Amino acid sequence: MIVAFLAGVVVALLIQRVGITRFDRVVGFGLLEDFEAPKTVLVAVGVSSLLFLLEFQLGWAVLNVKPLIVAGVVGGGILFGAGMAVLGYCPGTMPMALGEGSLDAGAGMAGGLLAGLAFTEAYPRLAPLLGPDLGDVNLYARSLGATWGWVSLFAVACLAAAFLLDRRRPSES
Amino acid sequence: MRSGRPRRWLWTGIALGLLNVVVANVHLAGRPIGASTGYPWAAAVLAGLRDSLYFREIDVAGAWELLFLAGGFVGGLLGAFVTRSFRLRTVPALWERTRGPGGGRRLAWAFAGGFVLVLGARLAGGCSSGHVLSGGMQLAASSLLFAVFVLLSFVVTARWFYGGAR
Repeated sequence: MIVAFLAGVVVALLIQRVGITRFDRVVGFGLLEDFEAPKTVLVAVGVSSLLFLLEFQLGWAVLNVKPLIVAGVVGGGILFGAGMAVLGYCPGTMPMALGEGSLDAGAGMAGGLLAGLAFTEAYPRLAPLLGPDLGDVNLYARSLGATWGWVSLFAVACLAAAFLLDRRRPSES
Repeated sequence: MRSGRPRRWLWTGIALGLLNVVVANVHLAGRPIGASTGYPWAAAVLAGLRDSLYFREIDVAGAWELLFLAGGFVGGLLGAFVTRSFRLRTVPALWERTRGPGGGRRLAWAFAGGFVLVLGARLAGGCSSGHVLSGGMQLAASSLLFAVFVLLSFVVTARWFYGGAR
């Protein structure tokens, strides 16, 4: 459990440097004017996809894939995107932003707690409506070689997208 | 001139990716980073709903993610003090330019936004951390689908909500 706390501290210190904990940077991305946040995330996902596959094949990690519950993922994604645009933070960056003194992030956390309560109450009736559940699927192939090829392609695409965004809208300061 | 440009996003992205791979190691957390389950976990504990169906499903993950959120708060505070950038603020600059200077209005919208954000995350089973960063790392189909719909809704809502006043 101490790992969770330390991971939170380190993530906050890291992404602070790129300003991802700030409203202006997040909403700037929503307005397609500022790409520091997606550039950072694309690099993180690209790099970790290759390293995680290695870790997984060495038996040092297990897959932790979330189920593809179609209506829940699509509907939840639409709500999440709308909420992120209005709030300017995501669930993980709200407490980080509050720690930096952004009080509006604290109001967002209060809203998030209320949503957590509402969801807990509604869950028994809501859960059957979120399907169909297509299972914990990921895009790993059956054979080792094909999986490495596929993940490499994915990683290169993520990194290329980050560099293309950087070329289109270079970082300022 | 390109070589002189800051590449902070690149190094930060690499460090963030490395961190998630390290955290997922079976000798450490044995699971990757996630954040949004901390909210219903904390809410259920505060409201005395530990017997609810949902709480029993998220008991382990929710406690872990609440500690991640606590670490995030401490890290945010620490970093802000070290860089001397800590400042109490309510209305972000871009919000003030597009939606006006009212602090009460900003807090009310932030509360509503936080509600919709976390509700969406719980319906989808993850957020920017658990779905996008960690699910993306594992090429999870659910997470890639989530990322596409978040992006579409995020850009459309931002344009509609802030774009008109610019």
